[in-house]
Amino acid sequence: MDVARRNNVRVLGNPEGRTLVFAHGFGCSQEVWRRVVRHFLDDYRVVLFDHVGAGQSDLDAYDRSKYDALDGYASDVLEILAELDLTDVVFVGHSVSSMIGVLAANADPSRFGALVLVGPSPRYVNDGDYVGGFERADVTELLDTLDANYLGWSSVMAPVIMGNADRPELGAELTESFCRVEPSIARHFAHVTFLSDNRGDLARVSVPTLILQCMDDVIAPSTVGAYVHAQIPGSTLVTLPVAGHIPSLSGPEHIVAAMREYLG
Amino acid sequence: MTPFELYANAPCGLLTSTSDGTITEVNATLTALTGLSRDQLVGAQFAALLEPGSRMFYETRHLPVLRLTGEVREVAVTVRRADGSGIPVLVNSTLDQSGIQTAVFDATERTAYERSLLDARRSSDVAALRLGVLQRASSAFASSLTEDALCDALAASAREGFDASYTAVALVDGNGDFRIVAGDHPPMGLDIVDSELPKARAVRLRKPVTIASPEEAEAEFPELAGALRDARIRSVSVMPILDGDRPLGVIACSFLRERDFDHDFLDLQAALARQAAEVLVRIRLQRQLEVLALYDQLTGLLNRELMREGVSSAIGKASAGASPLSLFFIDLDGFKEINDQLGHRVGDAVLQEIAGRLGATVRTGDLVGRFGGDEFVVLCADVGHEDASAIGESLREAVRAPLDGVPATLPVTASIGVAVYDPALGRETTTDDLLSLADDAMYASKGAGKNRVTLVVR
Repeated sequence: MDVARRNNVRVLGNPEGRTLVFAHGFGCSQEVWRRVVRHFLDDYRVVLFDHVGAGQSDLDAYDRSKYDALDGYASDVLEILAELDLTDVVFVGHSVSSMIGVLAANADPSRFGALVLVGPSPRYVNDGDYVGGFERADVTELLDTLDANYLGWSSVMAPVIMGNADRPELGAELTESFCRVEPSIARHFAHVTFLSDNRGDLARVSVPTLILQCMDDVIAPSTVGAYVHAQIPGSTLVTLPVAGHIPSLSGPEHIVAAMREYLG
Repeated sequence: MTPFELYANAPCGLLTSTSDGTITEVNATLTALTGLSRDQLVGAQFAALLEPGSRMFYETRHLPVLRLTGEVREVAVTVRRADGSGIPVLVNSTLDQSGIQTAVFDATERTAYERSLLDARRSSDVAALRLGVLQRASSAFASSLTEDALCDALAASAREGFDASYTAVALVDGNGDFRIVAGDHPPMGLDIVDSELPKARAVRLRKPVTIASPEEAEAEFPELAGALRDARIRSVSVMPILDGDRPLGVIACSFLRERDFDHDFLDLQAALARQAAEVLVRIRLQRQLEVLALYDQLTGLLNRELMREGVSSAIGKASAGASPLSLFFIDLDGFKEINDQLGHRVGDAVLQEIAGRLGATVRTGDLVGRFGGDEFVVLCADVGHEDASAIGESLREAVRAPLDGVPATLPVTASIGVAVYDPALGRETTTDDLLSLADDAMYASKGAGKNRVTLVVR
């Protein structure tokens, strides 16, 4: 199996540098990291990839049984690290990929030097005293919304010129696959993302972990960030002065600063 | 006149917000649409106006696309109004240096229409998926010739039908013991004697047994909970495979996350189990027929055909290994009188009893067959003429022992002919040759006064 093709793996930056592996969350592709990675290319080796089903990954590799749990995605991460023979990796996971990183690092800590969890949530649905922020019915409503926006998923599949609308100084860039997600896979991934429960995996994390929490993040509220921080032994929690759930796009410089501060 | 005054009553809601989504101005159409005043809207997050599910979509999909491409068109979301009701809208947004401009269109009627289409499409998708799974299962089952192949096909069909992380099929025997025949299911092989496992409960109740969460596993199956946790399994559904009311086994599906074992799920699992049960019953019947065709129905011994095959293959092995073999031809003396005087039922019982005695007299691997009527054949490999005489005597003694329900005035004895084939003597033989040699020796015993053993060496 060609792991690099399956996950559309791209290796950029300084081959002599420490390796940063960036993983995107639900609803997007590796494009979501574009404004962050450019700040690391000089002194880090940067690995980007798409989860199977997203971006330019190999859709034929989508095995529904395998990807019925985050464990399937975590095993892909480990295969990518093995394929590139990487160690001391800093794994940067956004949203659901922070839990994927936790599972991968728990399965084989030897390849990981650190985890950076951006907007992590081990469980989105409230459960007793635990407040994930959503009710089960909300997830059902999200699935309805996905279906209602079926066209929206496929219509952004064509190559587009990216204007960096809010940052015209960055100019236009051509991208081939902006946030392409196969609709039926998006639906399944939404199930797996928003109905998983990985609270029990946090306490087993043994690699140094940085948690980046946004302000006013409704998907991963600050109480959830605090929960993750309390559960992962020795973790560091930093709140970014950025609102919303996608700081890589709305405040990339704050992610860069926090990571550089942590990684030294 | 500001643009917002100019477009106060435009046919769509209009709003501007900062690039992080904080509303800076709205028009009157939007206040009417939402039921919220301008003061309530300005300063709020646009995302906060949405129903939670819509907001999840907005935050994870809409916003990233808007930030990267500068524009999002016709996104369908639901706005929560001041009175708590939801109103479906379509949203267009553009993003530039001054912030986000958004137009909001009431899509109530369109959405109601699309909603009914969507519901119809979803239920037809579910039906089509289910039908596809059942059709593929049906053809895979039909082409299965053995129990193992059928169970493999069932495990594969269940994996496909439910996206299960693990599926396994276990069949149950007459003692209630399970044997995992197909698939992979880490904790299923566990042997916990003190408590009832899901598979046993499913078979006992003839109903599906589900474990919806680790908490439920802890409460319902405490001795299994740890093994499930180790395998990272969070939910399990075990469906009995039934032939009418008779349990044949179970099909188990396990998941690494919590799944809804709703009506649709259990219905499909039951349909797969039902289809598999039908084929399993057919395969077993087929096998019984094959067995019937090769074994003597009264005594369970090998029949003439199978016995001849056994002799033929034993001659081949004896020749190849240069080891001797002995063939015993046994004809009962006095059996006709029992049939005539005591009836066929007693006669049949005598044949069954003697068949059992013959089998108990020789070694486990030796072949014992009924050639028809009151004729039996015994084949012992690796037995030369020295031992053959002793075995012949044992067989004769075994037959001669008193029989329950048969008076001493009607004794049953055996006239036995033994043909020994010893490749070391340099001669060859065939099945027919050896059988007729033993048959002749048996007649010699009869002629010499019955109840004796005659031995010839080929």
